[in-house]
Amino acid sequence: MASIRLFLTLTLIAIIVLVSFLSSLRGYRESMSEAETLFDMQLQEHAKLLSLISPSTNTSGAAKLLEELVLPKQGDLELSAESLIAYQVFDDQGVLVMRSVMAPSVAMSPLEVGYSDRNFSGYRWRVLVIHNPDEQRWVMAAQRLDVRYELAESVILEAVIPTVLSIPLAAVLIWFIVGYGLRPIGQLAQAVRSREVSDLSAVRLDNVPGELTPLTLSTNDLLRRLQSSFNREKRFAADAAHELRTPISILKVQIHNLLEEMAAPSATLQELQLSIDAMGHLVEQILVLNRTAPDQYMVQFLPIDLYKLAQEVISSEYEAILEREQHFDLEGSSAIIRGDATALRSLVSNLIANASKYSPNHARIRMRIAQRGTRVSMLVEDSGPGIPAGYRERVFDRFYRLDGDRHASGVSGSGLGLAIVKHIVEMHSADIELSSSKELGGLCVSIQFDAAETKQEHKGILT
Amino acid sequence: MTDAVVIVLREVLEAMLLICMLMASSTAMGYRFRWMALALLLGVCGATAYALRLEQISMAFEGFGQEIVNSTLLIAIAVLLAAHNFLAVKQLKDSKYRIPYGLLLLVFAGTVSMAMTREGAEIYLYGYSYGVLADNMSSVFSGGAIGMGIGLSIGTFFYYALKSLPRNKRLITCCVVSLVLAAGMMGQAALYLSQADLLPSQGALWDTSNVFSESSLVGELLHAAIGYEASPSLTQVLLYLGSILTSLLAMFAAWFLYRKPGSGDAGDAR
Amino acid sequence: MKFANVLKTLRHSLVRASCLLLLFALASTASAQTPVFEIEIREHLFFPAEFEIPANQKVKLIIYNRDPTPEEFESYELNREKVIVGNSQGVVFIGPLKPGEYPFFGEFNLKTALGKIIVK
Repeated sequence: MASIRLFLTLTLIAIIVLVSFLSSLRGYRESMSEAETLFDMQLQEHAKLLSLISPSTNTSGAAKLLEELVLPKQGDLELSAESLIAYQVFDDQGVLVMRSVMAPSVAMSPLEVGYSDRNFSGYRWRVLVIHNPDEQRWVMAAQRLDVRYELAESVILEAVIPTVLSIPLAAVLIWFIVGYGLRPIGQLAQAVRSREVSDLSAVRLDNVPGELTPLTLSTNDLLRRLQSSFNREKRFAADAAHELRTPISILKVQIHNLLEEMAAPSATLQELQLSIDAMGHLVEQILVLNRTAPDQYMVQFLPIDLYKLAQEVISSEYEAILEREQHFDLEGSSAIIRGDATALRSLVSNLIANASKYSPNHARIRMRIAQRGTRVSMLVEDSGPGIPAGYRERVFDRFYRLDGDRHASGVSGSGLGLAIVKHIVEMHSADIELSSSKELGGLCVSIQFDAAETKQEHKGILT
Repeated sequence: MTDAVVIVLREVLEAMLLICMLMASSTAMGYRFRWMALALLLGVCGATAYALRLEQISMAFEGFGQEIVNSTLLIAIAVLLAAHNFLAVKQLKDSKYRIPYGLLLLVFAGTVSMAMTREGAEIYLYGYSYGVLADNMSSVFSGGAIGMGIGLSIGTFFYYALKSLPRNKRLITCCVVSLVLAAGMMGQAALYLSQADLLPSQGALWDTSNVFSESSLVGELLHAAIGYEASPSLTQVLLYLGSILTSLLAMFAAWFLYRKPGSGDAGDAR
Repeated sequence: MKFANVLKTLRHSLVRASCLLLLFALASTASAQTPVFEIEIREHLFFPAEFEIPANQKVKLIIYNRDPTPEEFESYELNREKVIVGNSQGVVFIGPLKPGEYPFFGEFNLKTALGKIIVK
């Protein structure tokens, strides 16, 4: 992923490096050439002075040696010996009249007036040659180039080094400042990400920078539209189901009356009654589904004994089970979880109804409730045909039904049962898993709840 | 200090152009920079080994070991860059094509580590003998830092400039850059070989040193980018053009002969 | 398998070309009797700093580095660069060159290691 922070940091440092390094490089060069001019002027001063005070002729035959008397002591100024200037004085015939100790006995440069760079005595020298026609003297003054550079550089480097050393510091500062500057983006992202699923209210941030205002506004606009369409959809389903309840009850009463009135009710009429019952069931299920949608459930959870609750539900559903001559077991013992009694009843009844409905006559159904440590597990197994592994995710979708083999049993259903189960499971932050039952061979629904934590709550158990 | 700046800048600039081009190219091929770790490790080891063994290498091949090693490295880099272009063209033709990681590692890390071996050895040699041994740390290292800083900064801009291009354009640009870099490498290899008298050397074909002196900053940049030489010989020019031609040929081959897997006979591609 | 064929022919032609080049190179080494010139590096200086070589002829240049530090003999005009390790020597072939001045320098000591070849 391309990072804005990295990009800004790197390019900003690159710009600073380029600008400051190039300018200090230029400064270095300017200062060096300035220093060179100074050294050259120094050479010139020395040469001029020497041309005035040097002896007129080579009297003794050998060139006079100019001792370094000016120096206090060798040890006092270690560098001075090297930085000293070498002199040679020639007469007009080109005979060496005088030289300093460091100067060679042959001419350092041809007798041409001006500056030049020469190699002798194992070093490279800057040599100045001047000619004094009045005194008939050629004076040469030379200075070691490496020493000149070293001297000049030692001064100029002092100005360059801080620039170089300051770059890492600048880099660290830029990294943090860029990070700080980009923080509102992270905050906005965090504000959008961290909210609850159902929370579609506007994002509110303090001090939103100008650049982010359009994004914040459009995010909030999007959230608002989402909220209104979500509300519309939610209300529609619930309202429709609610509105359908009354006509369906009326239908039920009327078909009941019709059946009463007729001496021998026709088969069609009985089927009509069954269909109306199914429709009533569907509408009830839709209402439960909407009531239990996890994103809008706001009920205070209370401690509930799941085992006791299951017992109650089973006793009300038992008729249907007996009708199909199915064998039902409830195993386990008291297990307390925190939850909503109405929703949990709906959960258990849906699970039992499902198991019963989709298993053949004489099938076995078993429900087991047990507490293991901090978890309470509820297992519902049957000896029906089960659900193939590939469909186990899909069955939680609303109105999804496994067609074919299941429907061959002629069972009518809303396709909402497992969707409701899933809602209730999510509402209780529990986990649900579908697998095949090892012992009974059919479907095995396993739900894991968190057990209620404190023992005190056992006192106020509701079922 | 300017010595250090020039030496380090020259080498870093050459290496950075190559590395940044390959980094941009690897983003276009859908790979991150994991290969860089191996490349840098190998490069640093290679450079150190080359610098430490330089004496033995120089003595080998009748005193032309350096030229032979350098030209071999340069030619190998040029060949790998041609391979890069070949892969890039495949990628261009079929955006779903994913270069095997081993192959990418070989081409990319190989190129970078070999380039670093060559460029790094000189920096190591200079820094060690004139900075550490001569106790001239402040001058050599501030100069080196300045050269390195300028080189890395130019590389950063180069990388982000390439990265700002859309994927296909980025790949094409990388191919062009790699083409020119490889040609420059071949030209330089030709120089080394004629320096060792392994290739015939002729007089300069032309001289543009009064337009862009090779020692000027522009000249250095051009040298690093396109292998600019003010007064090249015939061999150099021939190898330069030959490298471009060969690489183009490989690219055309990749373009016209590669079939997307699934479209027609996929066997042709392998 | 068309593609593999193309690669194979490419590789073959490359090998052939490099063989030719090598032959060419060997022939050129054997042919001429090249004059030899020697220069020394002492205290980061070239000795001699200036010398003459004949024009339009290949010349063998032996550079002795008497310093303990390495030096890189380099010249933009001659298109040459070679690192010479401390206390050793290196050989560089130069030319054939047109008459003129060809400066060279030691890259590790740009201030002092300067010199030029005068081609006559």
